[in-house]
Amino acid sequence: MADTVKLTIDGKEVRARADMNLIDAAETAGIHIPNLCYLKGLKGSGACRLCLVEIEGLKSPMTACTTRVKEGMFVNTRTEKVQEIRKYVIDLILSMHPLDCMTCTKAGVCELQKYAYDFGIKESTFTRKKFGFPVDNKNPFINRDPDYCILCGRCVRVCKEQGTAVLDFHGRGVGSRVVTAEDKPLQEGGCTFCGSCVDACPVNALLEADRWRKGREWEYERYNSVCLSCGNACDTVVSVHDKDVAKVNAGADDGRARHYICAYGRFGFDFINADTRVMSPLKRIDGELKPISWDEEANQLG
Amino acid sequence: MEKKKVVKVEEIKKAAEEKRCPVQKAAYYIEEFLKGPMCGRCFPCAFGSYEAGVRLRNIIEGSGKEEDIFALRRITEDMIVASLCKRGKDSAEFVHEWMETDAFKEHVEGRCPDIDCPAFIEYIIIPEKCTMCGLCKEVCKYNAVLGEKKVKYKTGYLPFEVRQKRCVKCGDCIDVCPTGAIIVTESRKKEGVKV
Repeated sequence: MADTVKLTIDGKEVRARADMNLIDAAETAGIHIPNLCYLKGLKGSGACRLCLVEIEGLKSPMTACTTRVKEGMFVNTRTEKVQEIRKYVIDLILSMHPLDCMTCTKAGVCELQKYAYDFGIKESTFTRKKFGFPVDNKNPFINRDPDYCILCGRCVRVCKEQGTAVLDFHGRGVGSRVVTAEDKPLQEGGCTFCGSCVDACPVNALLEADRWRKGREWEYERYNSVCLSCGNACDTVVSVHDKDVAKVNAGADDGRARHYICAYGRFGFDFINADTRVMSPLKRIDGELKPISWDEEANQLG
Repeated sequence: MEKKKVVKVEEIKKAAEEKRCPVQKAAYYIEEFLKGPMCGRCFPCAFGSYEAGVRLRNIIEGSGKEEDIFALRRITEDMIVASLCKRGKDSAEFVHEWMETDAFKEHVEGRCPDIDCPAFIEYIIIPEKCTMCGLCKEVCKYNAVLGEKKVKYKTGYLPFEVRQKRCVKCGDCIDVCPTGAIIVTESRKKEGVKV
């Protein structure tokens, strides 16, 4: 167990492990620091600047995702200065976003939507920017729509971290996007379709391919489950809509495995409704398998 | 592979200082900044400077509004606080410094006090100085100079004129005029040129 330090966040005294960053430490105290590019378990990159907090004794605001906790630190997460920066960044991102919340599949869990709501930004005050990038939907698992992308880089980092490194940025600033090598579709770019990027994406840029109009996020019932496709038995969260499995997400509590389950676990749930699935006992009558009831089967065996 | 030479922020600043109009300076700087040293690692600078570029272009082209100045001020102020590195902060400061002058406001009202922005200036020929030699007419690629070349011992000529609709403000005619009859003035239209 690492040492713990005592610090004050928004007037609340917080005890945190010494190797924690400010976002995680605040989270333990129930204080949410807004962020778009930070992903728990990965190193912070400090790109979105949404997690800027003011630390007493320091002149300029610091990013909470890259700052470690320190004994006696005095942190303010809601000062006027940093709230203005947050509004400004969300405003800028919204000026390049399709604003398609009516039919967007991620509505409800979209972090951009959440922050726009939190800060009360109805529409961007900046110039509208449209790109019309091609959508990559040539594979049965993952849809990539760069128009929705907010360039947070979570997918890029999560992909690199687990060793696949299929995705990377192309270009910089406005008009850049996340691509595979030589901008090939995913299936030709060496992707293993583990879908970690889908979990990491805060918006609708990366999405399970078959979820268009299959229920909204808030209609799902979520169940903690375990994937039994292999012996690893990864923890999963199964979202069910109308008694049909809508999606499977990685569901481990902590650590890097939190974001990782493989393609079998994430996308291999079609067999539940497959025609070839054996749902009742079968009996061979005249050389042909016929379904029989469970009672009949029990009698026969007994 | 040939490695591209990275232009330094200071060099761009120096080049930008050579422009006369503060808005031109800021616009040139942001344009070059986006082309070269902007790394795109943090949102406020990467998206903000692009937006600032759009707004500055609006102002230069004469379609600027009061809200453009307001947006620019907000962008630069927030960039100074929130940018990841010194480069972004310096860039915002450079634009912010020039925003202290009245030039931005004058542009929105339809004037360029330094007579530099093409949307707010006009080329005119002073009739008294014009000798009707026809050099400007020959050099003009856009056929914007109106008039008849003078033939000796004939009378009844009218001095040359610049057709404002065709003129692109390239400045070629000024270079060739032997008597210095062509000058640049503030545009007579008070409202900006419509785009």
